[in-house]
Amino acid sequence: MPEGRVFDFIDHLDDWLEYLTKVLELSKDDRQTCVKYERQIKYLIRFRQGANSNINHNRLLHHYYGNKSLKEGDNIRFNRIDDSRQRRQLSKESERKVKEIIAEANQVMALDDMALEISAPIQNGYDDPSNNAFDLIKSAMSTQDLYFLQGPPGTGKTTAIVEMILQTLKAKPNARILVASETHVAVDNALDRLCLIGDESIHSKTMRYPRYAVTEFESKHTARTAAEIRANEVWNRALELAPQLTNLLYNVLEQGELENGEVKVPRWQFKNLADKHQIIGVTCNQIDHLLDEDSEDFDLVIVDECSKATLPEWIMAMSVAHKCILVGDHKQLPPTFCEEESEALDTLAEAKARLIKDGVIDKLFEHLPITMKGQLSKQYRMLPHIGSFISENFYNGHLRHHRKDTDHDFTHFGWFTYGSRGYRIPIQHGGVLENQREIEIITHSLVEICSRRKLKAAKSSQRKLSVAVITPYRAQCRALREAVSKLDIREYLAVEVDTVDAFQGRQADMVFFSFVRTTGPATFYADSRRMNVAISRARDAVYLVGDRKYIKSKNLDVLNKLLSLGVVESFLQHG
Amino acid sequence: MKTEITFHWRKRNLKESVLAICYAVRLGYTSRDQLLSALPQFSKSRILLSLDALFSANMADVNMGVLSINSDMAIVEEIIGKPIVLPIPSMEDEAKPKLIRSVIFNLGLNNPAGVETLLKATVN
Repeated sequence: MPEGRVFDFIDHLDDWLEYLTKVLELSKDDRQTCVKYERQIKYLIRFRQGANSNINHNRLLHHYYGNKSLKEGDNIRFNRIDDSRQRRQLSKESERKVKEIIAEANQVMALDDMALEISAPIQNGYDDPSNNAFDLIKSAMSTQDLYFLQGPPGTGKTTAIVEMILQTLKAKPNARILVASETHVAVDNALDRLCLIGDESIHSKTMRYPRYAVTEFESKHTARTAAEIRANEVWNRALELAPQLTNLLYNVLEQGELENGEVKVPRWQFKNLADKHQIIGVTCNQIDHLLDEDSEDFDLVIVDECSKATLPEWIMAMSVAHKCILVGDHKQLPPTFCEEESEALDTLAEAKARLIKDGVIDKLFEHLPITMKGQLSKQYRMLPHIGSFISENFYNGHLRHHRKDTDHDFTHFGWFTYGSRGYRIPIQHGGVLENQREIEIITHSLVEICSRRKLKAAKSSQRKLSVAVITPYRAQCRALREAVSKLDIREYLAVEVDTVDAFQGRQADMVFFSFVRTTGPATFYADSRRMNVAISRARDAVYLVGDRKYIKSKNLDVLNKLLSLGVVESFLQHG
Repeated sequence: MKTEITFHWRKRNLKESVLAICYAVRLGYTSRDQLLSALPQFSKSRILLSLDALFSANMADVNMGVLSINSDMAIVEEIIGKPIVLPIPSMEDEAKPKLIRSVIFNLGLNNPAGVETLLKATVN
């Protein structure tokens, strides 16, 4: 941060408004996308004007975003007292009245108090003294306005979110809670886990708008909490209670559009359902579908994967609740920008564009006082040899590891490499990023792993292992998908192929990472956040597939550390 | 040039719940509890806000605990969103409120102030 320069949150909001106006212009042919940007502009302007649920959010962000917070400590007042203004001496009677008014206001405001004292955990698994998770949850619950929970990979973010929801409901049984995220999957996972842990009273209070994106659930009760199903239920109940009225209303009231032969649920219906449910799961961009000026505010919003959301997205969520808990990890990937969005960014000054692209969550996290932030420190996903690498290289060695072993033989963390002399990927500058040699290595390895599993399965029953094949480039992703789909391995391996960015938030027993390039710049891998996500998807094994000579030639910090890992000779030695 | 007048809801968010209450009352659901149980599609807060809007517009009344809806609401339901074409030339803005009031009277509505509390008219 350059010395002397004051970073101002309102300036940053203005940069966003400038950018969104540009991107709106560029997307004018796509009405649906325009609506999204218009909505973001609306919420940003509202927030800038202080027309959000809790003005302390504006104060806190304004204060802790800027480097002036470093000088002025935790005093978040906008202005100092103006000495030039003369205060009139109040009469004793007036003073008494003012005190009465303040006492009454305090009594009313106490009902909205979201600083909750909690004692014991509701879920099991928080009794491990080496796990700081419950201390952080306590701390998050005790803050009045804002808390930032950083959750490195596999540290139990979803479990923590569920615990915070349950604790809030225990302390305030009528609390309205919003679970928002940039992605549908994150919202789905949080609500699914909540349904698994919670009883019928929780299920009946929960609603996912408009429907679940995932199709397999941990809890059998989850599917029923989809808003579209809830809408059908209320019409059926109405039909039982008042058949003539319900038939009449169905015909005269506005119904949704017809899509694929089915009538969609209209917006007014969703808004009514949202009023009737206490725990609502929705993506940040769809919050506005559920709320209007007649809706009740939320007491708490939990924004999952906040580092992956753009500023307008998490501001939209924050705007509708009194208390906001941001859950995410700024050491993982920042938001992604599509072609039009990148084009609009190019029209902005470089410094502004960079701030918008990188997000400001890391800066906020850095400046927030210790009482308003915390990092989960025990990871439950990776085996220690992978977890240690992640911890040392991305989290200053602060992560501890829960798992010690696994139930299969594939626990490597190393390279599959090849000589790329005369083999240039891409062939020319700007060419297709598709590397057949790496595809061959990966498919060959998958077949070999499968045959090892088959041999084992003949002796004792074996579970299906999950494999994530990850690559930074879309062309390679497509080619890999095609190649993997031709393999006869489905009985023993569940393979998913995707880009790094798309894989954030998921995990697998084994990860294959295809570097693809053998020539040209390596800027894509140079972003340590991307490599963090790629490797930390793995529970037991990571296979790095690339040309080590090329990678060495790039001399990039995180790649150099990966190069210190050995080459995997063969599965057979370990199998 | 002809003049066209169209009526819209002032509180669009409550459009469906206001209509639902009017239909429900006509079918005999005339107490707060009966309304709440017969209309599970609507939240309690929106039903109460809609009742509030109807009372404010003097379009609903309670007598001995029985809710009734002003007969003007039947006309309101008919005219909403449907342009009414008048065989008169376009007019100045100052004359428009008078025209709106006159149209409301001539449509047979007895509570013009109430209608204007619930509806907003645009004249083109």
